[in-house]
Amino acid sequence: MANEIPLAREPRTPEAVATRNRILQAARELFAERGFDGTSIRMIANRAGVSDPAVHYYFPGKYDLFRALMVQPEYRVSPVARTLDEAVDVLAAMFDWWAENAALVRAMLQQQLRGDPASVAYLRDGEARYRGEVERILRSASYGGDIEAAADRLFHTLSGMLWDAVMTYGNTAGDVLRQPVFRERVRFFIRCAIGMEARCGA
Amino acid sequence: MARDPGSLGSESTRGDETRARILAVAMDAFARDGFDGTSVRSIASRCGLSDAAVFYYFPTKRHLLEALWSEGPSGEFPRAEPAAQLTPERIADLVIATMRLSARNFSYLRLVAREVLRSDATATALRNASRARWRQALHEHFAAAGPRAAALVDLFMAAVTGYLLRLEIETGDGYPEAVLDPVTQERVARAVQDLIPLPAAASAP
Repeated sequence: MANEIPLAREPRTPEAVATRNRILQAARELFAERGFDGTSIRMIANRAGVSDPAVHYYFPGKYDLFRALMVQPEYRVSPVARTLDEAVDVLAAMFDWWAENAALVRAMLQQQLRGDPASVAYLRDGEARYRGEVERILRSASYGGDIEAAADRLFHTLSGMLWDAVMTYGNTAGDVLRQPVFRERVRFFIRCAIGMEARCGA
Repeated sequence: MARDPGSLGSESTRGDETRARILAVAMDAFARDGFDGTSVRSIASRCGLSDAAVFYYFPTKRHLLEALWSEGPSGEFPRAEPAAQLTPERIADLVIATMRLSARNFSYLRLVAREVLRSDATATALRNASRARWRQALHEHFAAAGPRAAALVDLFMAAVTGYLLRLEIETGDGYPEAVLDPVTQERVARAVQDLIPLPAAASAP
């Protein structure tokens, strides 16, 4: 998949960085407002105040824009955890990042349920990466259970929570998931998925 | 609202059949190609009818959609007996009951989900109502979990939603068959069983 698409170019000057960021911001807004199919490169260029070729220069296709928006900033999450409690913190922080991007997740879910092959490939890549990260985190925390099964439970439970939230709350899902009651739920789901909630006693 | 085919007198049965056939074709077409991506003409030609014949029953495409909404999903989620315990077997049964209902109502659920993601208010209200019914039925089954019941119902719903949507994204039109596959049912039921920490009373032999 990734090999078929020319790589997005990196900006070299401060002006170029600012232009690229304006394009990304315009794309973020339009994907949330109009969905992925409903947004054209021209609309993005118009909103960012640049020419169509300028958008194409940095992002050859709409999916390059989407991928650039969904790049997880490395500094937000420590890739390892020394204890299972730390693992819960790291996994919850990873979910927070997805929740902040709920409007983009919603636009992508719409494509995925329409059967757009590129969006399905994007999900497969994302799932594989997520499972890899979870396995690394749990291994570093000396998790005693079946790591692969735990990653499977985490991926599906947290995806289900996020997908349900974007269908129930639309583009405000990100704000809703920031509320303490939902954050508590996420931590509870994570603890259950890695077997930290006691089976004995309600 | 659509005209009542009953007013056709002696032709009413035939009118009902035609109306039902139009609705069935429209359900499949809207679910697969989306409301905007489907024309009344394509529905009419798939039914072997003229556009005018379809418009006789449904004055606009939106009337068709609303008639589909009012049909609703079919089948009931299993109810709980009041004193029943929450066991791993019960959790597996509830997962599989959900999977069967989702296969049976695939076109309807797919249509609702698509329209919800287009911010359609009717579809969003229908989805909220149907999830509220699912949640209520689950609460009865999970009552034995005591104060954690609400959190465990949320957990069950999130996990099942995740597994089933992920399967739908992967299989598309093949979803009803895929979700009824015993190997898939076993895999999902097992994962949800492993996820849910059962209360002590229920996990005792």
